[in-house]
Amino acid sequence: MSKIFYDHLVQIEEIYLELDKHDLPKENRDELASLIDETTHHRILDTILTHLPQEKHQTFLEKFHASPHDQKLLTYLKSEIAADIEEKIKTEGRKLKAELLAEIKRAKR
Amino acid sequence: MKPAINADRLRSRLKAKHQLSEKNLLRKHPAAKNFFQIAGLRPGKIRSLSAKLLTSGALASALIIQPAQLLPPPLFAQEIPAKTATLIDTTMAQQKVAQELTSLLPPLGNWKLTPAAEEKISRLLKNAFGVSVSAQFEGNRLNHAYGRMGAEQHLPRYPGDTADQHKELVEKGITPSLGGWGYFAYAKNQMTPELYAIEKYYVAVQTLYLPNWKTDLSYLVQWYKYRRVVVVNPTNGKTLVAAVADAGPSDWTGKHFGGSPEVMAYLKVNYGMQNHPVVLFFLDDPEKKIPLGPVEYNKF
Repeated sequence: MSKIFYDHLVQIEEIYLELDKHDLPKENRDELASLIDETTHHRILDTILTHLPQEKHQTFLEKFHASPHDQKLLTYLKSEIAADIEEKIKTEGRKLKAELLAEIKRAKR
Repeated sequence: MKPAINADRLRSRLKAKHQLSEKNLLRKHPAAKNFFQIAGLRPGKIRSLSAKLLTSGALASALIIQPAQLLPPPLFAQEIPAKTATLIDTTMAQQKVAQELTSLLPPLGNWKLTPAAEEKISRLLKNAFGVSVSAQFEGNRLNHAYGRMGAEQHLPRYPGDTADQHKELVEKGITPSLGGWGYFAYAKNQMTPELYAIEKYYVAVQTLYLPNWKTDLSYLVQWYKYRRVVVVNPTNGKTLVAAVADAGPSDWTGKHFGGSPEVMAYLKVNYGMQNHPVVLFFLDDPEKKIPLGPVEYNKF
């Protein structure tokens, strides 16, 4: 799986491991994994843009689009955001993981 | 081994969460909405973009802190073959349909569409694919326009037809008895491309449960024979034109429609219990300008 610069802060793999405990057909599993992955992106991007000054959004998005995996993006965010953005991303990641694990649990027969 | 989780339920909830998170992102951050629109990219698809960039080795130098630069050319504004452009546009149309249907369709298990929902779905499919569809057509409607579709086998097209003569999805088998309207032709040499396509993309609908089935039998038998319908998988927006060629399934199966092997395969509902929800509306196309099979964006 190719990298996004904040992957190590979110570690969503735990959700995939939970999903893989159940005997789902590959296509089904892949679709669920895709939904989880994309939702993660939405939520983390929202967190970043909420804390990044609005006048910096365009610059950040251009750099992100050009090189989504580059760790320099994190360096850039740390320089532009007063709050501890790594901690904010980790917190959002934990919150999302808890929600997703709850959904999987709710779906058990 | 039966999965220990209800995949349909989980997908439905994850899809709702996915759509809400995307909606919130774009609502709260207009710059992001504008950016992704121009880039021609859904915000959640950033990982596939990353994969593409890494594979091509196209590491940008944009991380040097500079004043805001021009955006890279929008993905879909580049010179790409027409076939690829259609594929990209069809995929986007399908995503749009799937996204909109989530808010229009009732919760699973409630298979009744309100008149308002039927109207909105008709408009949605017209805007997305240019097809005119409706739940009621020429005064006729099925008991369900939304329900579970089960898998059917190939139908015998002519006397002596066998599963392997269908060439595709042979392993799905052929029904031991004829479809609701019998053979498609009396002999193989009387088959036409249209009849082959009708069987390939056929659906079964519950004509037998229509309230006026017995009283208007001869009219309804003729009206429903090879009647063109549009079938949509609301999970992924995949849409195709099918033809009614069989009656069923029985109520006790818990399903409302049946799909040929090719229909099930294209819609990507041919897995697991094979009772995936679909939307099925009548197609208004008296001159049969729209061919049977998958519906593509901007083709009509």
